[in-house]
Amino acid sequence: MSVNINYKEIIKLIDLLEERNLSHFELEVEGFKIKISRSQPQASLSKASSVPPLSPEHEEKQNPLSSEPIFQESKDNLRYITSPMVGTFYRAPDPASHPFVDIGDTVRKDQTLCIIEAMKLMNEIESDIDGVLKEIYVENGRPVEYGQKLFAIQFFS
Amino acid sequence: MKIGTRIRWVKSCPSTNDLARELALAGEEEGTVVIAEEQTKGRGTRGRSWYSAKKKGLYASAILRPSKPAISLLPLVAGLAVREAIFESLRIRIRLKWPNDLIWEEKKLGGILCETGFMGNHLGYVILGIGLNISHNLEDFPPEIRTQATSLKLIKEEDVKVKDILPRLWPALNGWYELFLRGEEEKVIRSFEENSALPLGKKIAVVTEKRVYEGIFKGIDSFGGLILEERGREKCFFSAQIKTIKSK
Repeated sequence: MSVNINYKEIIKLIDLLEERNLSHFELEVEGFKIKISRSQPQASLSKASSVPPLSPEHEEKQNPLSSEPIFQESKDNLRYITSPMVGTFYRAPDPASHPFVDIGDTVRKDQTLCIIEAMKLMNEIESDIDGVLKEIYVENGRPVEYGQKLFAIQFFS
Repeated sequence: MKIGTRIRWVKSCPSTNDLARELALAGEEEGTVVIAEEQTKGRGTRGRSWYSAKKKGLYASAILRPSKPAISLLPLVAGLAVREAIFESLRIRIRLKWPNDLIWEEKKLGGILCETGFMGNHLGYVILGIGLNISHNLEDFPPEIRTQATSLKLIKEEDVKVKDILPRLWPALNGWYELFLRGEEEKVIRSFEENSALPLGKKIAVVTEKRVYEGIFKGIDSFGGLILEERGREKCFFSAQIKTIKSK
């Protein structure tokens, strides 16, 4: 059967996601399916929930400060560095300093790339490869989520 | 190795956290503590300086290598340990302000500065830094912080030395750290709430990069985040400044 898409209704649904702090919504009725996803802000976890802010649909209890692998590789010699926790992304050690790294910089193994702050716990994220910084995905001072892409480094092969 | 088993005393260093970090990177094992009589570039969070007068305060940093990755409660764990050590030594009941301040009657007595290093795929180390004002007189503080800072000597109104606290600090730190490692996070959270400078139910303002949220302080969540009830809905914060709102 044909379904008339009512965009106002869709916007209402998007607002509902925002209002309820949901990251993902799926509805399927009579051959009509809609999927809406949004990235969540940091302020999103209720005490009743044992699930951290990132993946409400994830069954496993995740921790905002998990040390799951934070380095992912792609086919084109790019390594993506993702956030190991929910927190705030800082590109410099303090507001008066220059960023640790910039796009186009050569980065070395063990070089500090950024700081993720959560609960005043300052977490230095270091590169584990030598390469060239190709992309920075997050602005300084912005909240980041667990697993969110922070940098792409093209590693020397 | 238990925390405090090996202590490296230095007369002066820029920052005990930096020195401990260097040692950690060089392979120093868990439990080693660095204590300095003075820090020339003592740090607070985000590059703020931490005033570290010579022989007046405790400036200590412990190297930890926790076996579990869920480390977000460590600033709270450290605060509880320092609170316990102060109570056991001097019978002074300090309060803890989320997430890392040590408070006496709305004045700052000290703070916890936790820093970690993620290398490759894993958490390499945690540096647990403690800065505590001990034998300061009021005039020992720079004029601009005199109204907001205090020391154990000022609270107790008698001479207090670093060595009066240390014997109680290591057992307290080890006790709370072991509790945390055993997975008794609930106990850490409930104790933090009980000793919080902000009582549960208090109206507070939470200042984030994005905006200021006003609401009721509802407690600490299982990962150590601060729970705020704003217009009937609960939100949890991991990075924020907290301000109390004076009742009219």
